Amino acid sequence: MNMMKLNGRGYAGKVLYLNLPGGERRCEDLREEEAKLFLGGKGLGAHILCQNLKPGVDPLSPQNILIFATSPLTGTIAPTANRFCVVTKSPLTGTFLDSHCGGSFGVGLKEAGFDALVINGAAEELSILVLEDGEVELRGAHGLKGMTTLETEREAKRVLGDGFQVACIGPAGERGAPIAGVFSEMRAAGRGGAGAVMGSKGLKAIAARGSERVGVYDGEAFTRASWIAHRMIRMHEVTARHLPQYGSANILETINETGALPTRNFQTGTFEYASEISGAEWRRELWARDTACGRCPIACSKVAAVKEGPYRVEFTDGPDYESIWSLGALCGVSAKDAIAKANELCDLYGIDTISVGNIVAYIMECYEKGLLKEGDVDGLEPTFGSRGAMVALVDKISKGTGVGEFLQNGVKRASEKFFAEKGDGAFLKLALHVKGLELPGYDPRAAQGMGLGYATSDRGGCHLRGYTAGQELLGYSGGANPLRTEGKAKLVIDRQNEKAVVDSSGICFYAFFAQTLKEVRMLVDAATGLGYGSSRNLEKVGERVCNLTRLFNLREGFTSKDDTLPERLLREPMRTGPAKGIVVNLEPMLKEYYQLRGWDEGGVPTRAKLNELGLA
Amino acid sequence: MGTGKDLRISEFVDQDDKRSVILQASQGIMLGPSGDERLDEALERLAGAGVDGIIMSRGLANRYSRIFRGRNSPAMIMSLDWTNAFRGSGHPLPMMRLEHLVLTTVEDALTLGASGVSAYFFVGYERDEYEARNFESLAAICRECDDLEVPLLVQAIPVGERVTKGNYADSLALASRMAVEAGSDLVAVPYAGTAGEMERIVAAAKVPALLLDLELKLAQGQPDLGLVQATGEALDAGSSGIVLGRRYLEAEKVAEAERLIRLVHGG
Amino acid sequence: MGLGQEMRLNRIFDQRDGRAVIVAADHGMMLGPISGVQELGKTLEKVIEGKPDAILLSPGQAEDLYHLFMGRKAPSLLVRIDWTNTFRDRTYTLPVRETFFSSIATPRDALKLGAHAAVAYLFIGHEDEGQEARHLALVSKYASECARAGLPLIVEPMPFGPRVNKSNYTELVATSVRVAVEAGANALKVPYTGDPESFRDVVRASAGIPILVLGGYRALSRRDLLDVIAETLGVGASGVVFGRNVVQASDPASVLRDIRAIVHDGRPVRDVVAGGDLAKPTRLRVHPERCSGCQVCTAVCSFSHEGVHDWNASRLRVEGKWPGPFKPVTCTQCERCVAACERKALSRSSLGHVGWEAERCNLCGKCVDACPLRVVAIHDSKVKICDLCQGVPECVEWCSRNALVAMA
Repeated sequence: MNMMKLNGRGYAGKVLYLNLPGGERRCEDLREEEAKLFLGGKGLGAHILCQNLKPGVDPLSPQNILIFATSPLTGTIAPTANRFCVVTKSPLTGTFLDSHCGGSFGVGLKEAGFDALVINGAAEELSILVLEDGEVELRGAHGLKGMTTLETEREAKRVLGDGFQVACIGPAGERGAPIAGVFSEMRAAGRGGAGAVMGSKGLKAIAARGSERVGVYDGEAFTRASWIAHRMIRMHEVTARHLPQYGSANILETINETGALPTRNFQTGTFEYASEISGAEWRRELWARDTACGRCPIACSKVAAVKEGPYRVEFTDGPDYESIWSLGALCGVSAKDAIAKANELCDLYGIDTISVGNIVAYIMECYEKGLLKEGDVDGLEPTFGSRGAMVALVDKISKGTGVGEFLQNGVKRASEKFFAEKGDGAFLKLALHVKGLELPGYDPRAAQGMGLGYATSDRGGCHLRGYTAGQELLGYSGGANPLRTEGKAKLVIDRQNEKAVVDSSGICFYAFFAQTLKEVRMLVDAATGLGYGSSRNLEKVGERVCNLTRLFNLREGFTSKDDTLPERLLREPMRTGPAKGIVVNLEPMLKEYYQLRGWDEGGVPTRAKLNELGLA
Repeated sequence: MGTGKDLRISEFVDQDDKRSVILQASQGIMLGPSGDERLDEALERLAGAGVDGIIMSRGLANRYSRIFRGRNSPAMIMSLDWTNAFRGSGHPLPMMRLEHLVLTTVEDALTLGASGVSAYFFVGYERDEYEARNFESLAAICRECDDLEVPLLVQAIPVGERVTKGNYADSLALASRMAVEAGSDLVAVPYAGTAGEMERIVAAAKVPALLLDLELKLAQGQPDLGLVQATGEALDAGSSGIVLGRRYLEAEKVAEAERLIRLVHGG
Repeated sequence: MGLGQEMRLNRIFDQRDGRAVIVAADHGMMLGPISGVQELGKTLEKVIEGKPDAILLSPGQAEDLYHLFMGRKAPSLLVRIDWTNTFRDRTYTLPVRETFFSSIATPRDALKLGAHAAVAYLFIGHEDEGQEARHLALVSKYASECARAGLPLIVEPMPFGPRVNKSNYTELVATSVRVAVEAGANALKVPYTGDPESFRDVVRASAGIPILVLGGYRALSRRDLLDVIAETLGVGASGVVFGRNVVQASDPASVLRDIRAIVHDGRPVRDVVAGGDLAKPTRLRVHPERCSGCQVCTAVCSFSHEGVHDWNASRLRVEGKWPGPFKPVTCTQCERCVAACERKALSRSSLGHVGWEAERCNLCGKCVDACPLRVVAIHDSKVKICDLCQGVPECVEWCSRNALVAMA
């Protein structure tokens, strides 16, 4: 085997560059040096984006670059090796964006013969990109216009044939709503507006199919490593029992008990009706079946249906923890059918549930505080707990109708609009986001490390990058005291680096709950023969990627001033629960974070650090 | 018997036929080496032939421990006491007055890995005081054996000039019964003279009674049957096996030892 | 080690290979009457048919069931002399709130019971380091008493508690092993670290003291159980102590026979599973209601047969469109393909597996047409046919939902 060629070593070995509207394409070999430095997925996407995108580009303009990337493990028997990610500049935040998704599209893309797809420019009319066996074709997709994500997938598969995997946008993406995501099998690359970028390029869907046989470098070692990873997943309490039984909602009651369940727009950390929206409750009442993304032994996905009542749902995926929380506790709502309905709307119209839930909760607080009147919100009475108002608002936002037309721009822009119109600073204070990305379902006053994670995440307020909640709130890996700030900087950095590796290797975060970087490294080395040799070496890839995305953001004008949290979390003491009286003590954590990262006091990676990582 | 005793006794009493063939190999402490014995070879031969247990003195137990290692090897039975009873006229220091004393504790034996212990009880002492003392030390051993759950094999032997042809069988019965009453778990007795006498002793014993191969010159007139015939008779009389004397350490005797083992365990 | 300890240890570890297959049945003392130990006498009778080298019991059970250990052919008796509440997790009644350990018998007591070894835990990782010190003191006392009594001491070192996590676990296993050895353990009962490389470090830490791997997890399958054993033997372990995997099995003797084949006879795992007591699988059975549509089965089928991931090379398929329901469709060993082949390129082995001989085949496709389920195909000039993976169907091994099962 030619050691330089990456094909047959997990990778397809090819990156496709496509220029729209003309459709000129260029297929480049993925080089081993690049693979070794950036691995794949997020890393590869970040590398390509940084090389090809000029700073200051309007994310919804044709000059933005949209990347779909898989990783070396995608399509293999490594457990959960189905992931793909969308990398671009976010129209919601203006930062670097990587958004990840399960389902089977990643496998399809790899089998079609590509490690990554890099799209520049915009098509003249609504189109579908068809990838098959190394060939790419741009076809008119007029017939798919206005279709929901579900309809789009079904129709595309009907027309093109069985075996195609499809990633698409809903009507929200077509409209360029900055909270629109990319969807596949109702799994979402939800955060940050990747769907809007796709829509701005005139792409309704991408379909991929192929007979590329995904080979690996050392078959025996790879089988061994995959079995060990598989066994660990089937032995671990979380991945063998909690997730299959209750999906990600399995943590909801615990998060509530630890006082970290943001309720009523982050006013408190405990929701008195948490037990009504627990995983067990969903299982009992609404979940018909478990499904799994490709190659995944966990099967955290659930199929929910609501048979009767005003919120009938034929089927929707999940909802998962974040969706149940954002459409539920965050809005004070405990009615499962309403939450399922709202979730369905988000899935079908193609928007991010976390963003939407935050927007609705924001409106509710503004209304309850008298800042907004019924007239401002199309005659609705959006009080906390009102399922009708919640669903109605989600409906408008997902369809872009009425007040939804500007609310779909995200809570930051909505709050700025209200402030500009009405002059009350409270409008700005009540919008909870970091760098424009709405906050997820962990109140950092009850888990200080999460606060640092939100503030420093490369795509804005994201919980996944520095997921210290596992240790701080769920007792994973020996636990960590949630209310202390000491040692949190290192924790966040370790988790961020690890996550960057996970996001670049092609496996799912849930698989990683049962494993360590050691198992991932074994898989990667056996699949690719890139010879990392140790977890430390693989972790360096993660560190490199985190620094690269940091450089991107700095280039786009972000500074350490943007590494902050909303005022509520920094100054309003938590009112209830174990974290009562606490605020996020961000400053000392942030200072230590920069230090340990090897960045200067302004949060800029030093020359020395960049040299060390080969990024100079 | 408690669990420890039961388990340990099962290491040298075959569970299917409830019989045992034990080799006496602790004479050295009483008599010195026998001729040009190669004790290690002898022990290996007889272990290979299938003896169930071997009586050793503590000093040599360590030296020859490999004979006892593993599930299929004979059990080690540690001899606790010393006597000059067997120093006959052919010995450089023939016995003048019967002496007996205990040298090793049961605890020591257990610590050294023994499955059981062995002690002598003699009747026929010149002075009754010695019989009392022998019995006393036997009883103390029995208590210790009960306490530590170690099975005790007593070799009950009439010896000395007060024992005659006429009173031999009764003396034997006395010694055997006394040993049992003191608390021994197995008793080994020399050939009683007739099958009927053996039967009486076995019945009176209440614990497994083995035939003891004794070179001690018997009182005048006792028939010397040879161990094979004596064993046959003893087994018919209900005894539970034999204790092979030290003559079986000789290489030429191994075939006979094998025959005896087959005879006892039926094969 | 003194003579008594050596002799007794040699009653546990087989003379020929220095290894031991041990069954732990002391759970009742820690967890209550869990299934399998409820009627321990009956269970042990079944277990003993499989000829374990030794069985671990609590003192009370040892006293009660000693008759099972009589005679040289019987297993040796190991007695646990300590106790802990730490295993009583949330799935049991009155779950542990604070971990404690205590001494419940002395080495002398064990000796009196006729035990061939005493067994005790040694925890490290206590939040209260005073507890760790006390535990070490207790184990040292045991070691000293055991030496005096001539009884081997088998220590079960365990990292546990909130200070132990994914990242430090392996290192702590090795550390606890070394501490136990230096405190005077004569043998060790150690949890598997999950992969052979890290376990090799643990074996090195034992400085030659024999290590028995404890099977404290529910193995995913017979093959998985035996694989782990073989892996650990390969890096220097001296045997296994299995508890629930044997005691709660429907046929404990069968499990033990397979384990003995690996430990004492050195047979390869595949041989043992395919040819062992586990009834040779002659059919695959599908439970479609359990299928999640994950397609791990098809991926593993193609990869294990062809070394690449290729849908077309899979010998089974999963029908159904997302979001389900799904239905795996597998070969049912109906053998119509074998009957249809005029050149005898397809044949049925004595174990019921269908095999294909390339040299005899002219790719006529009659087998493809004959298959009522369309699981036979020609791809890449090869006939792809389900051979049940020579007795250990990979799809069954990898299915996390028990949607695919192997049946006799």
